[in-house]
Amino acid sequence: MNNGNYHYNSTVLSHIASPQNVGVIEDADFIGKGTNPSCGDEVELYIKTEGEVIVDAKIKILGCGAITASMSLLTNLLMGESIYNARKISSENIEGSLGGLPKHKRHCSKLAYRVLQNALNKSKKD
Amino acid sequence: MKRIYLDHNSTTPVRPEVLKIAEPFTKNLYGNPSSVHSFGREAREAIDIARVHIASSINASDSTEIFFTSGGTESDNLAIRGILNNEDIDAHIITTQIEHNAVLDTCDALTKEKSIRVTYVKPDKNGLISSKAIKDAIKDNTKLISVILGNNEIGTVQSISAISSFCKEIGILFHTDAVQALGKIKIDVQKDNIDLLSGSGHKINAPKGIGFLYARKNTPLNAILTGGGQEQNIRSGTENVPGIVALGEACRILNTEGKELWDNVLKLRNRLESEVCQKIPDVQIIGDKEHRLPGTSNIGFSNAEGETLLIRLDLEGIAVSTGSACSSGSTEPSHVLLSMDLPQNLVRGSLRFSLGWGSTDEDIDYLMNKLPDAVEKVRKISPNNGP
Repeated sequence: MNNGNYHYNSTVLSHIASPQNVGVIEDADFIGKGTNPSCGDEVELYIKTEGEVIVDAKIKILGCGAITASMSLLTNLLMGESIYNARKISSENIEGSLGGLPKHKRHCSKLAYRVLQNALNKSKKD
Repeated sequence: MKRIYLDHNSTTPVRPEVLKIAEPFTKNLYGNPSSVHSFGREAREAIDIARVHIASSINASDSTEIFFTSGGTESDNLAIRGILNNEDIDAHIITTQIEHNAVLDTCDALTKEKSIRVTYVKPDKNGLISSKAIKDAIKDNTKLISVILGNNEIGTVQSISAISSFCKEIGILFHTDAVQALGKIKIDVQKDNIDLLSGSGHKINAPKGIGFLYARKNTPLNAILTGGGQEQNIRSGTENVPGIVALGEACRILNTEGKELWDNVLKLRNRLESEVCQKIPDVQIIGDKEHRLPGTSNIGFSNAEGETLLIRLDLEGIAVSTGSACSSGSTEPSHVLLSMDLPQNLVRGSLRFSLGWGSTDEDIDYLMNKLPDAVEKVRKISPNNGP
């Protein structure tokens, strides 16, 4: 349904054109996977740490523009961040850093948030 | 940046010759066709000429069988709602699962507003509707059968004459939404026993906001708008004279040049499909390959997301559509693709390329220069591909 605010902003579009940090980290310390059962988006997040600091983050995505941009942006937020601070990243942070998503696409930033939580709550080291 | 428009099923550019003939009716020829004076008479005369061109494009026996509307959606509404009388409180309608929303949502609304019952016939995996399935769905109280002639998403063309002939025998009204098919394939309302047919201007290089409903003479049709009684009391409202003149001219051009135009477009479409299949692995053309509108190509790219592909192409200046758009937390894959029971992987990676007047070999060159790379990049980020 087209209810006006239907278009992506230029920040979102640039993430879709060039998603950041695509790939897999074989020796990742944290791995999160998530799907949106109703829309079928599939995402994977890999995080590598040194001590408490995130030194690398990579993503794989099969999904729409909004989830691509949300995950891509998330990796930028994670780079160089402490695990402690990473846990505090919210879907609002992700959406805000993207300069907003169309209303009907907000669930994508929530999926990115859930995948992050999923990763951080299930460390490979555990 | 170069821009390539491959979305003619969404809307089309207005042809300069169409604009030229309509423009005076936005300027000095501004009369109301209902006015008795010369201003009114010249507008009325222009409308009557347009009506003849439109009637001729579908081989209607008389131009008074053409009723102008605001577009395809209104025409579908007028056809379906207009044939129902007050006593038709529990009439039955048969339509298909691959109709435009203008038909589907109107039927759905009628099930709530009245007690109309609707049967939605499912297509086969190629998007074709079997006339037997339609026939099997007929009940004693079936009043209308409505089948889309050329599908907007996959372009499949239905053999409507097989359906309309038994409608005629039994005495059931037959409507077809011909918005996408008009001017692209031969339509003969007399030979094909069509009682009602919807058409729209902006799909055939006329402006938006103008359409028509053909209603065979003596088809019982009630107005859905009340007012000044224009269009033989069927569609009140001062006529959109520039739009009508434009639609008439668009039909006139297609009546004479349509075959050549669409033969060329068909060649371009076939070239596009053969190159896509050659250069890009794991693709599938969706919809029956034989019974299809000449300019429409719906292609499923497995392991890729249609919307992401669309945006990548858009960033290269190429305009296409996708059949899969995730919205409000649930994918809304097109009801057309869903009804065909296609693998989800294809549905989510489907793109619609639609060509038309103005499409060139250079457009296909440019597309084929960008598309393989766009598909590869989108597939590369997918979890189902290696690192």
